[in-house]
Amino acid sequence: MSQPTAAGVPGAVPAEVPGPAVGTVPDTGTVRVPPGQKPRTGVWWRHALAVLALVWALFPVLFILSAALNPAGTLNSASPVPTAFSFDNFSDLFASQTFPFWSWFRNSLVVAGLGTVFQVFIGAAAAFAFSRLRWRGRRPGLMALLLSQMFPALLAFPALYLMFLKIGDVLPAIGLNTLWGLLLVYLGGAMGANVWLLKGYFDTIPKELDEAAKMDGASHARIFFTMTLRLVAPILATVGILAFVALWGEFLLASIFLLDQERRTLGVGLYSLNLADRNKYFGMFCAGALIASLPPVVVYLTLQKQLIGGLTQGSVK
Amino acid sequence: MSQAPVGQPVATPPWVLAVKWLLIALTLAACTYLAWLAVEGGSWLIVTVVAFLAMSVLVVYSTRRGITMKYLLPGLILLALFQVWPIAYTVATAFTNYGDGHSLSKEEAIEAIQAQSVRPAPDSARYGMSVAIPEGEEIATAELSFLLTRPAQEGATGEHVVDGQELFVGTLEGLEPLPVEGVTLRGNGTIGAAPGYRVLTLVEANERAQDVSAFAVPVDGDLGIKAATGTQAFVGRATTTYNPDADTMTTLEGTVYVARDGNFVPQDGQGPALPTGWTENVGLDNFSSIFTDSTLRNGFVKIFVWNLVFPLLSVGSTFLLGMLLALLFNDPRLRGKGIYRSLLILPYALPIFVTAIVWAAMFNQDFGMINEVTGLNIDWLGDPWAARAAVLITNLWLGFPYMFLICTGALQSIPTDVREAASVDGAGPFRTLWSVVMPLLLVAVGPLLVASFAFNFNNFGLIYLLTGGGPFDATNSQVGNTDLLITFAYRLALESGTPNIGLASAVSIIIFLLVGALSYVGFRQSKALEEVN
Amino acid sequence: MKRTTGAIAMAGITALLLTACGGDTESEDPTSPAADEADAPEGDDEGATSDAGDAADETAAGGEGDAAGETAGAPAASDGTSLVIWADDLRAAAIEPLTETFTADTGVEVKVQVVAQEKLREQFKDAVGQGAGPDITIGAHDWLGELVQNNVVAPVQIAPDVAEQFVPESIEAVTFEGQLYAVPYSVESLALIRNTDLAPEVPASMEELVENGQAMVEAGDTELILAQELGKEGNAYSMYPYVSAYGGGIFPLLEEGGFDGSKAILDSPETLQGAEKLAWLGEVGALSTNQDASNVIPNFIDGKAAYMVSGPWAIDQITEGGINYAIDPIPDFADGGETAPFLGVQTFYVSAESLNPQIAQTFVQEYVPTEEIQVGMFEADRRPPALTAAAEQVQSQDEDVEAWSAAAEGGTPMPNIPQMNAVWGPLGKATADIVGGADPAERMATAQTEVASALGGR
Repeated sequence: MSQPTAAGVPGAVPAEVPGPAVGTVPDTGTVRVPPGQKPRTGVWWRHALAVLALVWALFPVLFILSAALNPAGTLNSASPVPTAFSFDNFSDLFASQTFPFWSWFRNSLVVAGLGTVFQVFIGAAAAFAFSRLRWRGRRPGLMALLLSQMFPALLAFPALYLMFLKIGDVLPAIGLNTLWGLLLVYLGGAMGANVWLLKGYFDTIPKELDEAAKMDGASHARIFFTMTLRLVAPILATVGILAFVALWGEFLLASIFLLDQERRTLGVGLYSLNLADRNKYFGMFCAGALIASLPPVVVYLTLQKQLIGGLTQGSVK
Repeated sequence: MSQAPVGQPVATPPWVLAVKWLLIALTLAACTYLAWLAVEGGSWLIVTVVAFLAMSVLVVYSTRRGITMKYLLPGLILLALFQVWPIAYTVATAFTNYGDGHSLSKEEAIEAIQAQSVRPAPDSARYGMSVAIPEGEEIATAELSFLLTRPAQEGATGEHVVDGQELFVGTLEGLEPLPVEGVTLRGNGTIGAAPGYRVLTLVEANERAQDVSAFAVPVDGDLGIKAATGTQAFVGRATTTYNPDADTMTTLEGTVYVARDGNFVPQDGQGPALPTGWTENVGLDNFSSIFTDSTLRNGFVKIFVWNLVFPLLSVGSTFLLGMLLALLFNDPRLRGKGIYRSLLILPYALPIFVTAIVWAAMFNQDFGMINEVTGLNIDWLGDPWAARAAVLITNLWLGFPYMFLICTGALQSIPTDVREAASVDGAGPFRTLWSVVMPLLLVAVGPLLVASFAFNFNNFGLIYLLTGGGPFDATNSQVGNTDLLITFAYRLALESGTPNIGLASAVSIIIFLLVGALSYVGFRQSKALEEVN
Repeated sequence: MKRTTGAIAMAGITALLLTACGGDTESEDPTSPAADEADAPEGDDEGATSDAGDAADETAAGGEGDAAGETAGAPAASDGTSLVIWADDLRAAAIEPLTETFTADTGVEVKVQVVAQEKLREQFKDAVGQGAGPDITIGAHDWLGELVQNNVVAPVQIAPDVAEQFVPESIEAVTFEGQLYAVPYSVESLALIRNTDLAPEVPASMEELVENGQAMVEAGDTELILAQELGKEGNAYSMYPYVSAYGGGIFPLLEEGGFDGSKAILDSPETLQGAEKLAWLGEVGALSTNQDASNVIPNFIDGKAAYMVSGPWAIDQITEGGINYAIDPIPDFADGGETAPFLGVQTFYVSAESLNPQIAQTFVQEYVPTEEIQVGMFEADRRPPALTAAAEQVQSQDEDVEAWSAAAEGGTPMPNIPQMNAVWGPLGKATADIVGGADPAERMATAQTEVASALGGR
């Protein structure tokens, strides 16, 4: 990491900055007022704009809230102001025998949770190999991984269906209609999905650290497990939240995979709840969707600090 | 880490080794169990795959060589099984006519057509039926016969009639009267017991279900008595029969159908084909029809253009909004950033199938909020250009939080000195943003922008849920104005009048090639690959 | 019949012997029973629909796929013989308790699996196409042609005297190329649903309906003349009563019953006359492409429209919304155009790959045509039963039933031929465009061309 910080030299502001000097400079967290200038005029305008941004981000959500609170469960598409207040839709949803919401919730937690952990681990291992180890075929390997992500996966679903139907004949525990089978398919993309982001961050960890550890006689496994994984924790958090949100919301594949009500994930369950009996359950559907949006927010809040650092450096190099 | 001599490995703690070998052993044990199950199930393909897995785990992890593979193997195995194989399978399908009406093998189709053609003979009798085997024999192997009853002719009596029911026994040889001695009837008029026979219950007879289905008691020429249910039989005949020598189907009326293009079509060309067809290899026909069929070809070009514009504008607009918001919040003096940020990511956290429905409702010309509030009267979902705008607006809303997150992160990494230097140099805030911050940001998030492009290139969910690809032009209900290639292929595969998975696979291969080439170029531009050599 | 001319007869019935429901090749496939067994225990963990006595089943579900799973359940089925029925959420809950008589009579346990409504058709087709899937599925009659094309349903050789006990249209609906493939249990159709507080009188004609509707809109009582689904992509099902009002339609009827799928008649003079009426309804604002599934029922419940054309599925929401309503046939046009709706028939199909074909056939042919099951299904989905006796029985309990039956009168079952799949899209989009102001003759001609080329390209 020895790029010239040309931009730091007064009078040499280039139109294009060659190689950013980033990743190594910590966020100071304080504002340095440039000498010779008065502090800017407060932050009220930032709050004003922020509120405007919130209005933009939230007004469609208000429609969902309004439908969820409306006992008739209909979407009043002209105004987001609730016309009636009641938690009937929530209680109906929680009490429903036909639509086991909490089973869906649990299934989603299992699939998205385990899927995230394994995706991160498999991705990290692959990134280690691509970043740290010398071997032929790294470049084509990376390119091939990228390409494998470009296939319109939706159109390979019939093949996956067929495959897991056959697997289920022999190994019912991972066949169609099982969360484990679905998890396996999700993990099929684990290596390709995030290896670019991960590898970029791995590259920012100075190789000298590895060399030093090697000199000390540490094995590659020891380096990987005890040193590298700790150093790259921020990007693991980043990939973790991206993977979690993606798995949490996935419903196209899962709706082909999971038949039984009890075995559905939230995505599949809610999606079919909406379509069942011609919008009859729209209110319950909106109530469920609001609850479904909480885990991603919780995960985000938990990992927020890590996330910001992770995105920063990983994507740069 | 104490003074270990250079080059000499630090002794690995025993428990680590133990865990390693335990894991290897567990994997092998699991593989053995899976292989055993697969042998039981008779699936040799799975046996082979499992054996291969076990071998590779053993080779890779039990030796000291091939360090790289130790890190790649789990991912590679999953990738090969659950991504590469389905892709390969899909590619193979592209060379067939597989789809509705062409999902069987030819043998299955021939059999199905004949089975579907079995009709009851007009005004024929309906029999009460009991499946029976000779007394004392095993159900699994015994010769079957049908014990049959039918209402006797009025006034009929005799040794074959009891309680108004005439009794028969039907075998593969034919139908014969059954003497009444020792016979008891059940409430529904079927025979419950007969001397010399063991009458099977519904559940017992089910052991021989396929034999019962195939069983026909010959009566009068080509007529036969067949099981209609577990307790009833009917007199019927196959009204369409296959002639293997000529490879034709002939109906009772004498219409001859010849095999052509995966269907039996009338020899004289008059009338429709028989409904059930079969899968055939069609070579490159699917690909050539994409380029020759005028509907498909024009559609393809039109969709392709939009398919480029849409992700470009989407990435551009979401990035711009995300970046501006990130800049807005990138002020340490601003309080409540945590709350703002968590609320701003709600559009990202809500499932798309909820938000897309809400947006579609808001865009409704008469009842939607957008026209209501703005006072416009735009037919958002009915006018091609308005619909494209609606798609972009919705995707801006859906996508900006992701860019906001990314830019927030990336901004932290831009050294404060850089911006200060620009200020000192007299550059205004916009000039600083444009010529200093933006270039740095773009380099930082470049690979993610390419990834975002690729995602939106195949953004099925949004289009499918918001516009369904529409609005459609009057002359062509297959090609919509907001269609992406993937929604178009999906419609061909599943929702068109003639669902054709083979054709859809061909389209998906073309999409794959296109998006792959574009992304490759994109990555070359972003120089992301230069680090790798 | 003393002849032992088996040899001669054998030649004649080789074809008959071959016709083991198309499933006999599958019996050689050692994996198929496994598939069936794998499905079996899963049927049980529908906590949704099962009641007491589930404790044993819960354990079975826990040990999914292993031998323990197969032996759990009713003692009579200790050898693992059971029927699996697929149904959507609503109907699964309804059919489960109705199978008790069958189980008591035959000792065969019935397992009901819930499959999402929108996925049922595709899942059934895919699963059975691969030799898996249920023994029986509940589904709509218009799937039939497609299911036969892919050989996933078995013919049902129902006794003629039983067939006679059904509403004739329902039997017509499950007949394809002269063969019966399913046993119906309900018949549904569109009807005019009226808010009796806003519009106490039944309109005598569509013209009168429009007039009353316009008056109410002008008076500010309502905002819409009529609420009816159409949408931007159009809706051929919803618009069919108008399009076919003068004898036109989609396919010509065959003399022997059913439709001639080889040619469409979207541009016939009779169909065009109906399309003109469609254009008129669009012009006066009774129909609009902005009315779609997301807002039609809400608008009616909010009192924004006094009239709605919809089906039995709307009733629950209307009742919950507290609207006083009445059901009548869709009014005819004043000049004699008869607005007969499409009929949708709900049925029980038997899988062509069922491993228990006689048991499945026994259930659908001997138990589905009973009042117990037909009335039981009615209580769940409120569609008038297809069995005449059952329909008469429920009419005494529920006055809506008679109204729905009246509304269905004169209607034709939706075509069940696979060619229909090539029509829904183009015709639907044409109806949207015509209501939106396109020239009926030109637009129907375009639709006709498109349908014809799709049919020709088969």
